Amino acid sequence: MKTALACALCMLVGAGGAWWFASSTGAPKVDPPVAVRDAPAPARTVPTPTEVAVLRGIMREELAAALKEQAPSPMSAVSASAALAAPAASAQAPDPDEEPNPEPSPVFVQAQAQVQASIAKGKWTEQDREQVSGELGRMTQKERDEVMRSVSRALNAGMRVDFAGPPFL
Amino acid sequence: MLGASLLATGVALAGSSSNQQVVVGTTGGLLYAKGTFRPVRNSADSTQYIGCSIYAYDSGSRSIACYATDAVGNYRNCSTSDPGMVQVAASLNPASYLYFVVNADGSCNRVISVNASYNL
Repeated sequence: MKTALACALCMLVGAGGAWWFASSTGAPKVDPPVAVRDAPAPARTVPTPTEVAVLRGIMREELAAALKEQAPSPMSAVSASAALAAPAASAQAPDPDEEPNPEPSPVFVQAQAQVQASIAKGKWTEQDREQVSGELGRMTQKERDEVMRSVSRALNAGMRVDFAGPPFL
Repeated sequence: MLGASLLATGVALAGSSSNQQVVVGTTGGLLYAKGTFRPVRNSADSTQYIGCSIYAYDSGSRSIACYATDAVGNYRNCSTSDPGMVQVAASLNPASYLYFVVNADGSCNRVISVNASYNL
C-alpha cells in the first residue's frame, strides 16, 4: 500500500513538474493535474537547477498534503480508481440499439403486471408461462431480461411451479 | 447359443459412470443446481429434471433459462442473455452434466457443462 501511494505521489509530482515546466518555458499550457495552491511565479523563463529543486520540494509537500486529505483510508486508492474510471465509462458512445430514455413498452408493462399477479397468487402456471412467453418476443432485450429475472427471483424464492419444465416456452 | 445368451443378459457396460442426481443448494451465498442428464432421466422418482432452454429472437438476441427440480420438488432457475453462457447452454447434450449458479437478481452467475463419457 505504501509502495502504491509512493508511486502515485511520484507520478503526481512528475506530472506537476511537467505542468510547471511547460508553463514556465512557453510551451502550450496544460491544466494542472491536481488543484495546487498559488505557487511563486517563476522569475526567469528557464529556472536554475536549484530553483527547480526548491520548487519540486514545495510541490512535493503540497501534493503530499493534498493526497493525505483525499486518502482517508487504505481503500481510497481503489475508490479513487473507480471514481476516475466512472467518468470515462459514462463518456462512452451510447449503444445505438438503446434509446436514451426509453419508455417501457406496453407489452413489458403488461408482462410485468402478469408476473406480479402470479407472485401474488404464489404460483406460476402453464397459462402464465404461455402468456408471458408470448410477450417476450415483442420486448427489447433489456425488458426481456428484466421480466425473465423477475420470474426467476420469484421461483427461487418459493413461488410454486405448476408444471414440469422450463419457466418460459 | 452365445448370441442368445448375450441377447438375454444385455450388453455389459464398462468404464466410470456418473450418478449425479439433481442437487440444489447454496454456494458463496448464491443458489445453485447441478445434475447429470442420464442419471436424472433414469432416476426412480418422477420429479427431478434439469436443463436449459435457449430462446432466439428476430432482433438477433438470444437468451437462456436454466432450471432444475430435485427429487423433493425444490426448484431453481436463472436466466441470462450473456453470449458465453448462451453458448454453454447450446453445448448441452445427453452426455452433459449441468451446473448453474443464480445471482440474487435471478440472472445466471455462471453456467457450466461437462460433456464426458462417464455421463453417458
